[in-house]
Amino acid sequence: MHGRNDEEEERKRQERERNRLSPSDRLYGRGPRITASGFEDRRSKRRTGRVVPLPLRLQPRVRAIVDAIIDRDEHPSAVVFFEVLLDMYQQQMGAIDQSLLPSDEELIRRYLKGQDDNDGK
Amino acid sequence: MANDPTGLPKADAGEKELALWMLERIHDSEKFMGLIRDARVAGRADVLDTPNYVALHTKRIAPLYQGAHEEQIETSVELAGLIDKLAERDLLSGREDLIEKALAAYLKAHPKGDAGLPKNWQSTVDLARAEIEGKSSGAFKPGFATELATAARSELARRAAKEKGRGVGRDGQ
Repeated sequence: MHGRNDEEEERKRQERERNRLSPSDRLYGRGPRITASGFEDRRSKRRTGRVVPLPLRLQPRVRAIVDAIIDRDEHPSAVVFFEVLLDMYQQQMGAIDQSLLPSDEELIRRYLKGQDDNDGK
Repeated sequence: MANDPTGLPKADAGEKELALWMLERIHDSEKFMGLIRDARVAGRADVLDTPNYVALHTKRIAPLYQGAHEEQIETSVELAGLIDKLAERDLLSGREDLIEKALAAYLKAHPKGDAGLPKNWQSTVDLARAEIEGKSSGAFKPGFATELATAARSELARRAAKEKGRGVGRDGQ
């Protein structure tokens, strides 16, 4: 009982800490790095926060077909392929109202909560 | 008929029989979700289109599409939100279910179709049946049939409890 409260409290504390960071830093867990010579490490500029890891539990046969299509149709990356895939789906099943989509902030919050949940298992 | 109560297996039936029965229940749930979806599209929401019913059936369908291991794929922020929203709108059991439906849409529209790809992947239920019957292997996660048999036992126990509850009610009148 007491342990559960401690865990909740720790999660809230971590959330407060994260809220001070930018969205991309929240995703990748650390802020911009300052090099030993005092300059900002420009590698941190590569992190745009526009690409997020999405957890999926695909069956082996679906995973195989995804890989086979990416190879056959020469999609440059999984990110591009999934964009095309969802576009095709919406063409056949109807496009979704873009205003219904959650904000970046909300998506990042969900992703981090998923990570916390996994860590707590 | 798939929903015929006289066709219920016994709780101590073999794993294969229970798994096949559960697969048929999942197939029924998919058909039912299709009816609900069509009714929504037509603007006439079905009387059974309630959050509880939708949750019950989507939860039942999910194991058919979810593998054992979680993998991270990289995607854009917009797409991550879109996947969940489309699955919710189309009453699918989750992201994995949507990916499978989207793959079917992709291959239907692509000029090459499914040429050069692994065959017979589209008919999920038929493939699952073959896996349970031991005619194929490796297409689904390890322990797939066992998981379905376990779900079948839970379902049968739930039904038995419901029937018993009804019986008690009648006796009490």
